[in-house]
Amino acid sequence: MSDIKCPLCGKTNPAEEDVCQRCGARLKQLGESRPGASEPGSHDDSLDWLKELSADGSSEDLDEEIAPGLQRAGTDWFQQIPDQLAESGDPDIGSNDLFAERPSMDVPDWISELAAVGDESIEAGDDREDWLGGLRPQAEPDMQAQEEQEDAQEFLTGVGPEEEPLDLLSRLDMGQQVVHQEQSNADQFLTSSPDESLTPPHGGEDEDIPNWLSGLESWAPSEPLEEPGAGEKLPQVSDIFPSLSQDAAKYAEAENEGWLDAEKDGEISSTGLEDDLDISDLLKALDEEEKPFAQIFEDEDKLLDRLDAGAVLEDSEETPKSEAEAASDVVPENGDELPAWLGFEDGKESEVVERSPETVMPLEDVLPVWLSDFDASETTDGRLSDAEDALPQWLQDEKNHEETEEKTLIAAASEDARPQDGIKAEQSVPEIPVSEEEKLPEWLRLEGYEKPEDPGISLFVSEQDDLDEWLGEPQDETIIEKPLKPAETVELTAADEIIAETVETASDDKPVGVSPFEGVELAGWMSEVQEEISSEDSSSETQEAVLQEKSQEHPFASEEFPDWFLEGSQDEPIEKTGEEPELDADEIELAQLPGWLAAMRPLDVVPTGDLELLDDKKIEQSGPLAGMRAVIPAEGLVTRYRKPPIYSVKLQVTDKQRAHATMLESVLEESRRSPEKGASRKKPSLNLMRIIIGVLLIAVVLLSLFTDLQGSPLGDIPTTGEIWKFVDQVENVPVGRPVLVAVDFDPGFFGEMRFLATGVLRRLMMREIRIVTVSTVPAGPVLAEGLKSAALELSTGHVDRYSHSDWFLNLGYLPGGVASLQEFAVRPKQAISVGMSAETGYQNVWESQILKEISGVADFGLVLLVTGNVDTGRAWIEQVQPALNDVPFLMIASAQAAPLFEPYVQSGQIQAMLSGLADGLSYDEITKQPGDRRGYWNAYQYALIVAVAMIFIGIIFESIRSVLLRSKPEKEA
Amino acid sequence: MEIVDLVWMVVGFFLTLLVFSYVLGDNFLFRLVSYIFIGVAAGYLATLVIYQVLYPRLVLPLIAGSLSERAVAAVPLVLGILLLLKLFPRLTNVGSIPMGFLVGIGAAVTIGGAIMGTLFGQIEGSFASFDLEPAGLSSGSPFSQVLEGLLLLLGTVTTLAYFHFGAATRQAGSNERAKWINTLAKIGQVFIAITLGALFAGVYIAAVTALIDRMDFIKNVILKILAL
Repeated sequence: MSDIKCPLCGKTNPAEEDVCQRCGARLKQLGESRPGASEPGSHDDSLDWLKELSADGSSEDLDEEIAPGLQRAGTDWFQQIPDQLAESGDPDIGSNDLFAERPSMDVPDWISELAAVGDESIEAGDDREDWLGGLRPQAEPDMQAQEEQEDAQEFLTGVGPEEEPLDLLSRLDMGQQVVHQEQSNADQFLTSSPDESLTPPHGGEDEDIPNWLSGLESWAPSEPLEEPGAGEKLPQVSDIFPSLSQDAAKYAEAENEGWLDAEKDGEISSTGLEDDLDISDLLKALDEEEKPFAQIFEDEDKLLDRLDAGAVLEDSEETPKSEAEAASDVVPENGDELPAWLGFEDGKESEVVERSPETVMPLEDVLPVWLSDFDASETTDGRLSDAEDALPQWLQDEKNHEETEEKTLIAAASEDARPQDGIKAEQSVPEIPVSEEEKLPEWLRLEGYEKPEDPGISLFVSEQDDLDEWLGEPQDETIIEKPLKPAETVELTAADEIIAETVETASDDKPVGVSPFEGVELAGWMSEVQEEISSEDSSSETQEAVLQEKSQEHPFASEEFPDWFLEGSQDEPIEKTGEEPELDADEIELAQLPGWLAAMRPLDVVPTGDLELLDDKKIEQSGPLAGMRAVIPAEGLVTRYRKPPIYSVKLQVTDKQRAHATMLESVLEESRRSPEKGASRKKPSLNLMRIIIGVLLIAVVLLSLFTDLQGSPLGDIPTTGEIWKFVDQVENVPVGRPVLVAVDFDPGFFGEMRFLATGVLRRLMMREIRIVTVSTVPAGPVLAEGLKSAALELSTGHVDRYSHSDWFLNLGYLPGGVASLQEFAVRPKQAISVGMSAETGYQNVWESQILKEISGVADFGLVLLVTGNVDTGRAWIEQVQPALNDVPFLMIASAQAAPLFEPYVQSGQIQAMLSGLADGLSYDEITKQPGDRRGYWNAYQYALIVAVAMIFIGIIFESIRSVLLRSKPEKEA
Repeated sequence: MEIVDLVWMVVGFFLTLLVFSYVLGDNFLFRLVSYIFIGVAAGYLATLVIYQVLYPRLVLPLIAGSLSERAVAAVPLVLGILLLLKLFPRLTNVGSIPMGFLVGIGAAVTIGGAIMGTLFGQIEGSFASFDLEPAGLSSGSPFSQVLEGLLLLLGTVTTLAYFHFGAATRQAGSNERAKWINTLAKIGQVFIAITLGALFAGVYIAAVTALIDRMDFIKNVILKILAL
């Protein structure tokens, strides 16, 4: 046995398999699985009603055109309906009665609901005219286009303009009270609108036509179509969408057991309203199958086959008489095999009319729209066959378009005179206030769906060859006449629109934000086709404007497509999306570079000629960029540049400047030398020199201290005028006024300060002057205590006195630096509140005996600054000294800071200053202080002598070395 | 001598010797003493700040002070907390408030003091050198005083001229100072060299004095130890 190829996924399956092993799709036709349906006779019977529709009367041709599509699509559920009708043997039942009055008949739910809706409308006495009952008056040329669209919509939806254009599927949803939009992608596929701006012209939310159904509307005729009755939509659907019905059934079967099987078993009620299976389920199955694009295109092929069949029917219009004959041939002789609703047409009108008014509807209402249309045309063209009228207007031959329009006008005019006819009611329909352009969404207003910019359209362009068969319909002549050139715009056809919708649905599972049935009135492609037919000579500017707008609104604009999808559109040029703003050259001044910048421009390097424009279409043939387009030609740019000229750079410097530069270069050159080499040469000598100098100084000092040499090498201790001034200031301090001693030096200077300050403090103690110490250095309070201890060391008689806070008060640390000094100079009581003495504790020091009469720094008898730091001494001079008024300000400074304080001594800001060991020993000598000043002085002098000796030795050594270094190159030379 | 004093004297003696070990180069003993000094100094500073600054100036007013004292003490408390926020990168800007306060106050005080204390004081002192009145006479004879004043004036002017870097643009493109300024600058270099020499001598004298103090300490320790 041969294997069976899956129509969905293409996988080859064993012949005995009923469903695809890969995708689960049914491999065999439903009719084959049904015992009764597998018979050839039954299959032929199912086609009878379609054969009847053949206009040319050639049933063989019809079979040739339709049968392959039907056979490919499998046994359509809809095909089973005529079978079962034929089996029921009740040919009197009209199309509406098919489901309403024969509950035992197994029909799909949605079809039953359609019939129910139609009955309701009929029973309610709705006087809507039959949409086939007449043609739209053609005397209104300005409304023709609008009416054409409306009629085309009505043809598809089966709803007249005066009533809400309920969609076939939406009615099903309404009947089931189930919203399936969000349940499956199939619903999205059906409900998605290409543009969210779609607004139904009649305002019904549930009246929208699904896009894929809207796409089929492209086949709708440009001529006005008749409005079908509410209950007469079923034949339309079966006629127009046979392949879709087959596909839907096939998908439904592939997804679950299928309602057809249930129908076969009689599990589905004839009413369909109580049944769970409905068209939504069927469509949901469509989505769950996730039909691939190839399958979608295959379905399109089926649709094309149906169009081929329609083309045959179009030919039948040219020979109405033969069509009638063909219709008679198509109608089976056996009335049992004839579908009931077709049999209704077959001269059974009298029986229907004889029914009661409550149950029997008028003939025009019962008839399908397209059959009513046939009746309408009967008045003018004579009695035509029902099969001829069954042809949709859109299937009319486009080649005889004008003739058909005239016929339609005549027919519409004749139908106007007929009461109870659909045309009358149609004429009575109030005109829609909005214009046709306003009624349609923006993207639907296109005459031709031209989207050369959108690469996604290229896929459909490539499929154009396949679609040309059915696009060869006269209404699409304009499209076909235009060859598909890459540089030209591409017009989307109905199939393109359907495929576009399918692709969009398949690529994006998210529901489109547009109501699923909003696009009920017309799909974009339909309006495009009609407008293109009606106004082929529309201006190109309008097309471009609409094209730009549509390119922005098209749902594929933001989609990402695979490469194969983009292949067809790569050759299409990219159109400008917007115009460049025109600038007035007069308003813009030419840019002018500054002189210096213009001089720097390398005009000689940059070529003056214009570079070649980049060729967007040029594809790189070789190299790593092979295959890429619009590659910048690097070779050309390289060759156009040339080596810039070399200018000589010579600084205009003087000889002196050159000498300095040479000196600086030599200095830098020395620093560039490797540190290892220099360190290895200098490190031993430096360490040796450090050791020699250190040991020598220590030895000299120790020897001076231990030996107690008599006599001094440099003379006795000098007593200069500055020292006498200092002595005078100290001696002139009033006894009753305390002396403020600021101890602001670091601990490292304690050895030096001990020789300077100890004698002064001792002298103050000898004079029984109260001493108050303060410090801006954290170690100051401790150093003050050390100075006191050193002063009392040699004056044991004052130890007990100055151990008390009444005689010696340590105010402690004064935080805050310069700011704190400023505060202390102005408001000392606020700057310092507690002292460091253990006796006072945290009591207010200003309440102590020593500070009882002190309210400011000017109340002290003397301010003595002991410092080793220039900055600290300057701060005291700048902040405190101005507040002292006539109070003497003395300074005991380190020898290293004394030169910088000397200007203040010269200016009188410091009344006297002691600095260095010599001044300390001199002060002690003048004041007759106890102690071994001779040993210190001798050690000091020997240390100075050693230092001077080392300096001279160093100078001599370096001089000899430099002489040797200079003479050595001369000898070598 | 108490034993405690003797112990601390011996400790001081050895620490001094360890410092003198630097004569032989950087070594572990010298670094050990340095670390000890740094640690002791830090501990002392922390203790001093707590007992001399925070407790008497901040805690006591907040605890036992009057309402006004508490209000005044709250200001540094808030500013101190804000200053601590500079430790957190996200709150650095908040800590800038007390920093700005401190820097602003410090700069204002320093500049004011420099102008009033140094600038005006030095200008007045320069004029005083030429005061031949007996009250302003600092040296023995008026001639020597005038000569001393002229020498100070010359040193001041020439030193300032040396630090004058303004120059006019020559035609050749080189910038050179005026010749008279160059002359003054060269004279100023002499005064500057003398000043730097005096400073170096003062540094050496200070170092020698400290060395003599430490040698005297070592001698006393040795003598006391030997006397024991």
